[in-house]
Amino acid sequence: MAEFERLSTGINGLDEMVDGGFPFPSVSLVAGGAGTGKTTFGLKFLTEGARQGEQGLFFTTLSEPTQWMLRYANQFDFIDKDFFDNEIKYQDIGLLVQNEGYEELLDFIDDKIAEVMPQRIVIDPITVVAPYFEHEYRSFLFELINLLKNWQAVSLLTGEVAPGEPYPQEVTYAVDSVILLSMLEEEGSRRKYLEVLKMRGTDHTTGKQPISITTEDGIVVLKSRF
Amino acid sequence: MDEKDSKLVKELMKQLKKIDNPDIVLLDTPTTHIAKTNFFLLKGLLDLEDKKGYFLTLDRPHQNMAYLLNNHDINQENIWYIDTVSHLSGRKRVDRENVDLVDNIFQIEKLTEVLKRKERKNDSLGTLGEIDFVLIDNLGPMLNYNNIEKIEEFVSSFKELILSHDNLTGCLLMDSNSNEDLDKVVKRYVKNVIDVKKLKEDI
Repeated sequence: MAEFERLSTGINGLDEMVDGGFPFPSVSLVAGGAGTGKTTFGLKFLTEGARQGEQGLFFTTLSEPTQWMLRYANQFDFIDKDFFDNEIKYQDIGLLVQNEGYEELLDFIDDKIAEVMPQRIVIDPITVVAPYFEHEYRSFLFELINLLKNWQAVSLLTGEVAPGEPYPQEVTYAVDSVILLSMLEEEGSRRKYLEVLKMRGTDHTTGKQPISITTEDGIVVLKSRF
Repeated sequence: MDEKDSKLVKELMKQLKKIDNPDIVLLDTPTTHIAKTNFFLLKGLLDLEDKKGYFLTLDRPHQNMAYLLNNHDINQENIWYIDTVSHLSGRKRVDRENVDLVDNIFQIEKLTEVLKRKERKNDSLGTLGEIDFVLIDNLGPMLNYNNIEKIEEFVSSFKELILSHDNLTGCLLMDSNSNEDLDKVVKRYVKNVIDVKKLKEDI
C-alpha cells in the first residue's frame, strides 16, 4: 500500500498524536469557541510550512486587512514577518462573501490557488459564510471541500462552535480530519483543551489533551494529567 | 511564478535536453512538490520549447492542470489530456476537445493500450509518432488501485512503447521515498533520473 505523506502540523506535541502530521493532501476542520486558538493554529501551521520551503495561502473571511491581522500575529515570537507576502500569501475574501454568490466565491478561491500553487491553505473562519448563503451553505461547503481535495495541498478550515453545539456539524461530515479546541471551566479557572475527533487513515490519540497558548510557541499540547 | 521558479523551469528543460531520445526519464520529486513540478514541466515544454505532448493523469483530474495552465496564460493547443481519475474525483466535467476520459485506473497494465491507440488515431494534436513527450503526473497513486506486478507490467510496456517512436520522451514523476517497492520497480526500467529537489536547492 502507498503510505501517506504527512505534513507537520506545526503544533508542539500534536504530530505525536496523529502519526506525524496531516495526510497530504487532505482537508481538515479546526473548530472551537471564541478565544480557543483557531487562528493561532492556522498561523502556526502555515509558518511551519514556510520554514520547510512550502508555500502557504491564508484566506480570511473577516474583511480584515493584512495590517490588522499582522498587528495581532506579531505578538507571537514564532511569526516571521518576512514570510508574509512571500511564503505565506494573505487574501481577504470577506467582501466576496458578503456581496457575491457562492459560485463566484468558489471561482475566486480556485483562481487564487491556481495562481499561488500552495502546499498549505487556511480558510479562517469558514462558518462566517453560513448566514450569507443560507440554504446554499451545504452545497457551498460540499463544493469547496471537493475543490480543495482536488488541489495538492493540506487545507485547514477553521470553524466557530456555537454555544451548546459540539462542533459545526455541516462541515465535519465532508472533511478528512476534525480537531476540536475547547475551553472548560474547572476549579474556578478556564482551561484549554485539544481533541482529535477524527483523522482518516490515522491511528490518532483520542480524548481531550490540555493545551496552553504561549507567545513563544503558539499552541502547545501539554502532557496529559491522567 | 517567481524568479526561482523560472530558473527551475529552465534547468528542468536543460536536463531533459541531455537525454538521448527516445527514452524514459524519472523526475524524482518530493510528494508535496509533484503538482508544481508537473506544472513547471508543462510550462517549459509547451511555452518555452514549443513541444507537443500527452499529459496522463493518475493522481489529480486533468481539470486542475488545465485550470493552472489557463491561469498562467499557457497555450493548451499542444497538449492532450488522458485522464484516468476524473470519474473518481467528483470534479465537474468540463467539455474540452483535447481530453480522453478513460477508466483504466484499476487495470493500469492496460493503460499502454490506450496510448497505443494514439498511434493510429489522428486527433488535432497528431498521432503518437508526431508528438514530443508523454508526461505521467505521479506514479505513487497507482499503488492505491493496483498491485506492484501490474505496475511493473505497465512501466515495462510504457518504456517499450516510447522506445518504438523516434524523438519521444516519456517523463515519469514520483517521490522515490514514498514506497520502496515502487522505487525498485521503476528504477529497474529507468536509467535517467533527475533529482528535482537537488536541482531546486542548487538554484
